[in-house]
Amino acid sequence: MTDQAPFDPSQIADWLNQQRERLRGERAETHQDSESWIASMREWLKLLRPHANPMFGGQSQDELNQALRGLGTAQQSILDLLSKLPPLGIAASQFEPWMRLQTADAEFRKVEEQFRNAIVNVHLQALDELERRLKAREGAPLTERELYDLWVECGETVFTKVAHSSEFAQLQGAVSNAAVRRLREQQKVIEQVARMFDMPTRAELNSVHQQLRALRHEIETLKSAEIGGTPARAKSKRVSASATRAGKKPTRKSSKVSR
Amino acid sequence: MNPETDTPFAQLASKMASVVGALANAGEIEIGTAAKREVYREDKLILYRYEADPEAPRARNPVPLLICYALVNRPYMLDLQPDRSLIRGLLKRGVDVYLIDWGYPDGADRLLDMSDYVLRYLDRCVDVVRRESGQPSINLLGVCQGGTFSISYAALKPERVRNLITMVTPVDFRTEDNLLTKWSETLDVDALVDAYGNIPGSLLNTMFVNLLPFRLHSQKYVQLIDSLDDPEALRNFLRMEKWIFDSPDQPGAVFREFLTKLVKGNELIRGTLKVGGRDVNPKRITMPVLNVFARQDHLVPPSASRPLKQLVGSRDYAEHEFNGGHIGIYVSRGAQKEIPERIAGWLRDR
Repeated sequence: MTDQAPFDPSQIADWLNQQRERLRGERAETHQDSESWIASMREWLKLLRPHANPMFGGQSQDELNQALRGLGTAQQSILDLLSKLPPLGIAASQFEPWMRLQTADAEFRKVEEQFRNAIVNVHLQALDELERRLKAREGAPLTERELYDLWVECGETVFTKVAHSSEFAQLQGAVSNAAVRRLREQQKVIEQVARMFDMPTRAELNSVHQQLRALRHEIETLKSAEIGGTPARAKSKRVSASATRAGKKPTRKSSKVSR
Repeated sequence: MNPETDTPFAQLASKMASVVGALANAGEIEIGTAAKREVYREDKLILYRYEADPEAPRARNPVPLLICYALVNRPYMLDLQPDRSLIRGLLKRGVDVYLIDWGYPDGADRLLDMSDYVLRYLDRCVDVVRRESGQPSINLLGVCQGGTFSISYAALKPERVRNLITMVTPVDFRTEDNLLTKWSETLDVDALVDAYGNIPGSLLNTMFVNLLPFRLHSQKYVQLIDSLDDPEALRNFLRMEKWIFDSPDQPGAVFREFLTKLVKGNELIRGTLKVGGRDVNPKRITMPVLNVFARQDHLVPPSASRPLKQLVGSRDYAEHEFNGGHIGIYVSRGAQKEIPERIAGWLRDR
């Protein structure tokens, strides 16, 4: 890679700024549900503006935006309220898993956003570290590959510090636990649907596995009691005896599997 | 200058495109090619015995070596390719090698716990090797998590283990530099196992790769540019890549037990570990012990392996620190002579 043309320092500065801007944008894009809903509605209304104005009584764009923000907030409030509502009525047991899933999903999204922001911060700090190290080189030329490797080194340095902090460990644990809770609620919803159609469920299979395991242990205990040795020894005796009868070495299998 | 093709980044992108082409044309790769035969099978477990190296010294070590690999990833790491193979290195030095392949656990195996692995599977493999060799006790080598199983086994059935070797094996899970332990601190292990049943290998892989995200998500692929003109180096890379992402799921029960008792509870160090209801007392490990670890191991740092010395009751304890990482200890060029030589030599003297 040394045959590569070295970087112009101004190119590097531009690249650093572009990356920072992109990363900040990623962080800013992590809207609440209602905000992203408003954003998409706003785009649609731009397209529909000639038709939408009469529909909304000729209001200005700002007034429409304000109205939409209000609607978005209301939508979020309603969803929050519904998720806290205890299941009621004859169909309560049908709705409950869905409501629990909605709550788990909202919790996951919230903590996942925090986690994503933490990762974006690592990248931003890595760029700061890269800039610092580049300045320390006092304009010494470097190739694109050297720049890339330096960026990786800066990234790992920053990440190691962050990853060892208790805050990051807490956040990592929180996002994993939230993802698992959501998965669990999804499974419950699917199990409910499976039961409606009399399909086997994971819970039933787990019961069968438990029963099989208990039976297996019981059989092994009985076998060892009967033979008066461990099951392995018993097996080994059996194999040895049959192998001796056949005039073979007492191995269970002796097929060559690979070379 | 054409900014579309002549800027440094455009040149880098163009080289990466060449890497893709070279990988596509790298051809078939083979792994785990040392000759072996199946000697025992139970559930998904297969016990293999490797064929002796015809060039090995005549004075073959009469006590066979049983290798107990981890449940994470596949054991062919120990015989990745002919010129990077701990197993071939041992065979060449007259060691009679057996290897446990745990297979790919599925949903029916989710209830397998440590007692199944240590007191059932491992014990039966030890029995088979003892029977085949006619030796009352055998040499046991545990790798990583398999090392922790082997320590437990040697403590529970010391009369069956002649010499114990541990490689990159965690013993003290609570050392300051152990990032995996820190990350698992707040993890709800019960909820995780209840939700997944078996812990997906891909999930574990994501966690391992995320320990060094810049290097392992990106740099190692960019570095392929350096191997563009070296097809063998590309194939080496592909073998490693295959191994890294060939990750069996971990049976839920054993994962729960390992995380709860060993990683979070540090029960091996605290002397409170029980397997199958039986006390694991490492002071019963009085046979010779060789503890091999890697200085730059980011998964099992040396600080996690070293405490074995204080833990065991053996008076014949030796350590070997390899200058490399968790994987390099098996596949790096430097390891090919150093590690098998150390192990075979140590065994020869005992």
